[in-house]
Amino acid sequence: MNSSSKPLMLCIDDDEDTLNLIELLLSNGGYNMITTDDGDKAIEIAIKSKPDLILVDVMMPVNGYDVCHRLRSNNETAHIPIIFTTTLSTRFTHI
Amino acid sequence: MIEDSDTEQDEMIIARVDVELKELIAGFLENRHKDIQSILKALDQDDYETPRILGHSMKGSGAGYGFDPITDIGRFIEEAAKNRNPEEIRKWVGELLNYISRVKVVYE
Repeated sequence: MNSSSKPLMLCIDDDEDTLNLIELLLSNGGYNMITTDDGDKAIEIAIKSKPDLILVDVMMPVNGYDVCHRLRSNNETAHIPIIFTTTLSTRFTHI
Repeated sequence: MIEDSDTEQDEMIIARVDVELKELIAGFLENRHKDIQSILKALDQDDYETPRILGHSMKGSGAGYGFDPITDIGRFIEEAAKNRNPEEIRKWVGELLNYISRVKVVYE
């Protein structure tokens, strides 16, 4: 776990309202939060901050699957669990 | 689901929202007003990508804030944008404006 007593979570979403909602709820739920709406910047943040968990939106200008692939390809971030957040719901959009 | 706006035009709509979200609600509703302006402007320019993206965002965030109809309307706007149907988009933008004009938030 991160050096803080609270787990650190990185949330990546290009929608301001979704980001605000997740940040508020999870902060109140006992997590330290880092948020960004920029998929490229998220890679740098993850390398630097070493979050305990990463939430990634799928549909962003920088595709969430691509962000996931880049995180998994980097030795500094490959071990960090990732959860996708999405409203995509058809079988065609399953991984 | 969305109520029949023709028969309920002037009635207030109650949305029951978690008090934990109170600090975010005004900004969330203000952003929907901005979305309406952005979508109508996009349609004037034959731009369907903007309503598709904004509809998708509304679909994703509305219910999370306690506004289920915004999620429904966002879904319809996204679909109409994918079908490049400006009349349908305008119809649902009208429904959105109607909803956010009438909604009264009750915190619980």
